Amino acid sequence: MFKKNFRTSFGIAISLGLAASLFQNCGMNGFENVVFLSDSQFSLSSHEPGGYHGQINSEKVRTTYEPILADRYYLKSLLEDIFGPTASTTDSTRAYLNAIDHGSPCSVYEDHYTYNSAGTRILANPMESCGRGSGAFLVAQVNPKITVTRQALITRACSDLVTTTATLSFALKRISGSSALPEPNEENTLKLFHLFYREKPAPHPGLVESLLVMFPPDNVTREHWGSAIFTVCASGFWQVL
Amino acid sequence: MKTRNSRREFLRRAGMSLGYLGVGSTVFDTVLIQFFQKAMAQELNKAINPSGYYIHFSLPGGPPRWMFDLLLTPDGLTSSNFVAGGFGTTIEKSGSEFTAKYNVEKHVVGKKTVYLPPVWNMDLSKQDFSSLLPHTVFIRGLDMEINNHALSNARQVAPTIGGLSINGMVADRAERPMPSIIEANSGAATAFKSKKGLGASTIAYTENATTNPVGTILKPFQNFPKERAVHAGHSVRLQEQAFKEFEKLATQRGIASSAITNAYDNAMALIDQDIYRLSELWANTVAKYRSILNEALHPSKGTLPGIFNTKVSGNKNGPFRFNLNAADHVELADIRDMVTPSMTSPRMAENFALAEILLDTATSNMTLSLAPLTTVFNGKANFNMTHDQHYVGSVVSTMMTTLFYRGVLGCMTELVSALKAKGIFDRTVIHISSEFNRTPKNDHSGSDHGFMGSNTTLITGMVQETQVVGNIQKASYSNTYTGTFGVATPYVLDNFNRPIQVNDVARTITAMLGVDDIVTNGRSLLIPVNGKWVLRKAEAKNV
Repeated sequence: MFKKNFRTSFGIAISLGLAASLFQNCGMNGFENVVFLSDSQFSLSSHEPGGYHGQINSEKVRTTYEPILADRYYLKSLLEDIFGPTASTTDSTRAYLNAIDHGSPCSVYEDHYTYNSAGTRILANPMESCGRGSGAFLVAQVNPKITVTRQALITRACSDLVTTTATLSFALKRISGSSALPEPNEENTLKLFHLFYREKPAPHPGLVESLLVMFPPDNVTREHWGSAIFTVCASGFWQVL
Repeated sequence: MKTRNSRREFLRRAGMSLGYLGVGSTVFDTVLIQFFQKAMAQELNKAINPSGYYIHFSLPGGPPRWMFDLLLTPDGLTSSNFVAGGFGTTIEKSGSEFTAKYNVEKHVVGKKTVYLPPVWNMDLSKQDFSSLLPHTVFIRGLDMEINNHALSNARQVAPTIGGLSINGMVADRAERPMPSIIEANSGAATAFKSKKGLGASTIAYTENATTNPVGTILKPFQNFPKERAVHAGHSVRLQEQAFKEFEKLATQRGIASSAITNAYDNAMALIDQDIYRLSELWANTVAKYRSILNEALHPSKGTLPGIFNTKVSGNKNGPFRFNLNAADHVELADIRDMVTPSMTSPRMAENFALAEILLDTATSNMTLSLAPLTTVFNGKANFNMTHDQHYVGSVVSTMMTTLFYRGVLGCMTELVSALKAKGIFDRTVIHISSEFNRTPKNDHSGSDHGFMGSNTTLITGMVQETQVVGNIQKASYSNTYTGTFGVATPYVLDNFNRPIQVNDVARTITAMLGVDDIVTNGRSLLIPVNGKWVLRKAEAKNV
């Protein structure tokens, strides 16, 4: 009985293995043909500049994926919703209006700022500001990209927002529903998560746990919450639409 | 991929030389700059950048290049290989009228002899252009296949429209904190695409006495409030731990996490390095390039044979035309007076300074533009030249475009010298491209889009001998544009009987830099032999 089962299993295994092998070989042959059509005499691939290794780089044909990112209008709206109406009025958070890093061109329906002769920031005439055709607005991309400068600006904005009394208080109220400091529990941590990750499924338990461990067992302060909010804010993936 | 901490630590260490030198608001003279850059380069070279370095200079608008790097007769000018047309490299008197005429000059580079347009002999006081020649690959007979300004410019770095780009591949393998820096005025600015979903930091600026583009692009990394409790050691460790969970979340939801993760890590590393202090190099570096450009664009009368040595006058609105309006032609007793004291190429000096400061210290690849001349005098008022010279007559074009290229060569010679000093020229490819060459009109009144006869140039320390490649037609295909202006004809290689195309150029560059290929039907034109890259098939015929 054992021998019969073994022979049957062995036969099936060999057949499957052979089929898989043939399938893979077909795929490989096809790939090689495609590659060598364009390169019959030699082929180049290297992972060292100036190198020459005489083989095709197997990664050369691969589809890429670039996530669609929130533009500056989305960022401004979201952060004002979380941190309150003053979220986009400080100098550093005006980074949201940075078109070249955050996408979307000039609009006369948004606030524009300039500096007067005393160096004070004042509202500018949007018709003049947009009409002047600032280079940054003219080249702003419809689909913003993930860049190191964009991430630096957002991280700085997150830092400012969680260390400014008014904006932190507003965000804490969004979590607790009152002026009291929120309890550092799973429910409130999930509320924090969903403030940024709108209409997204709940995260895996490990993520919630990683936020909860940011709070000490007792004597939780606004600063502890500030650090947790900063973490979610700076995590960045919420920018992916 | 490296872990967050090791990557940040690597980047932080890479920039520590800034701190070692204690560079701050102290006096920052030339000696200190040189010391600073050398120390920084040495520190960074401890971790060699695996992708090499790539600088793409684009000429948006598609200027004529036969007075610069489109070598129409690399073996010398003879009647058997050249037919004159409505274009030239020098200005000569023909009867009572001045006209443009194609002339070349002999250069012996090592064991090679090559015939080049006169601009290559128009050295500056400190810049010897011939120092570039051993490292230059002239690729002519380039068939752009399509006639389109924006797409043809983008295809120079991303041959498949919307597809992966050369600078994207370099960024993917680079170990420098900014994946790529692109000047917004570059025609190829939107073509950047990496496999990892990385993004290029874009800079848009207007050059003036107070602008500091290095400061502009590095400003997000300046004065980060690291002293706050939220950025203190214990908080940061807990944040790092949570970030790993966010990365898991991204992976679970199919988001390519590496780009955002890398962007955050690199941003923090640049803040740790206080990279903003590189902006202190700006004033002296840009002053150097502005001086070079100023000398190049403002020669003394009586100098530059064939271009500026004799008084040239005329108002025949073909060769002397400068505008769409056919009645607009230069009205000067001496057209050398077109050169005003304030004439310049916007952002040229600045872009070369950007490249010198930021390549290697902040990024491994940059895309920059070379804009046409502005503030040119026509006898009545100032006007701006265009690279898209449909209505720029041959005499005006020959003089002004040659001066423009003299500026390019001056700045390029200085940049190459700086890259050599940094120790990275042997791993750098500088790529000079435009949308297309031009088809010169027989009446000398301008030139249209020569997309079937383009060219491109590589300058790299990986090459040690001048290389010229690509076949062109001696005769034109049109009665409107006669003459040998560079129409591409087949260059047989790898069983492909077709002219050189951008796919071939892209494959050549990616091979040299050791990054992933981005095309499936490209032919590398160069191959490494004994550590130096040479042409696989040294053929440059006029057929």
